[in-house]
Amino acid sequence: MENLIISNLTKGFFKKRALNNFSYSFKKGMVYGLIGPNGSGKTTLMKTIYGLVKPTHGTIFMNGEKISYKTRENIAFMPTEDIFMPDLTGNEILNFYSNNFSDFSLEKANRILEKMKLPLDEKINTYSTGMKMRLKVTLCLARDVELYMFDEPLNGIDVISKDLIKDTIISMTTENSTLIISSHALNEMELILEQVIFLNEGDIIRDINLEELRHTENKSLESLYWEVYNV
Amino acid sequence: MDFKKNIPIYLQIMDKLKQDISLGTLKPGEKLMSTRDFSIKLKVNPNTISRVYKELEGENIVFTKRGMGTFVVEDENILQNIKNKMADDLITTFIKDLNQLNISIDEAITKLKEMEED
Repeated sequence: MENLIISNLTKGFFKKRALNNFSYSFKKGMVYGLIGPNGSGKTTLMKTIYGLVKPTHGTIFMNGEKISYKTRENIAFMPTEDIFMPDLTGNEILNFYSNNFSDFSLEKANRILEKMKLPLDEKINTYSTGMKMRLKVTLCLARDVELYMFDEPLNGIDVISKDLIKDTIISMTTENSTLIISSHALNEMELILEQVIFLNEGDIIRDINLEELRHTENKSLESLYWEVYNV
Repeated sequence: MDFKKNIPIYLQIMDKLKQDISLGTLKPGEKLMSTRDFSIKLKVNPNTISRVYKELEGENIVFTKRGMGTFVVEDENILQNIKNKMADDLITTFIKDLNQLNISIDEAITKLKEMEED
């Protein structure tokens, strides 16, 4: 079932177009990959869906409701930016989320944290980049929403953190939610993603089911990437 | 499990399970891991595992008990069936390769017998 429908979405920043007449319907129970070089529109798309960026043209509907601050209650978004105040401890941040998002489940968070192995009593400014990412992913997945979006969840972190994050994402997918993940780590995300959207300068240049790609063209995601972007 | 990234993942997992059954690592009647646990173990999308179980069910190799999980069928013939199917697949590829080399089946049989005698 389609739960997120985007029609003719255009977003211009001054003269540059970050999204160009983008239309797509996302389905429940699926894991989508957003792939493309920097500046291809991945982050703008996610921020527009979350309602942080206003579209220049076009519409986004989530379960029949136009995107606004209200639909945000049903979306969890993990941006690339640092979102934590450095003086807070991991536990304080957990409590902050738990108090601010009605759908945030401490029980779910604790279940994820059992594997994430984070020093929750310590201040965030003692955390490594990988630890911060693990916490960010946890906070996002501990919410109970229909749409989860992760902007570059594997970027610039250590191998163990990558593995923990991948495992957690796999264990938290459900039939009732949609996951959208942007990533440059093609090789690492290849077995988790089902449908991959290739973006270039705000346009969809390819939209492909990975199992079908392997079946009909005998290609891997990475080899298709080289082909699509012609590099 | 190491996957070839240019071959459908569900097919590779199906082959692995069939192999496990024919080798006796997985026994008739044995319960398979849950979709989620198996997907975490193999680090693949859970929908891939659902598809594996569905396809294997279609081939009458496993069956699903509602609320209980997925099991290897108890039929003793299943082992033989899987072996036959795997042999068929091997031989099909073998014949294709021979054709490409322009070697007739008779020639191949002669060579096989020679090798066996060595």
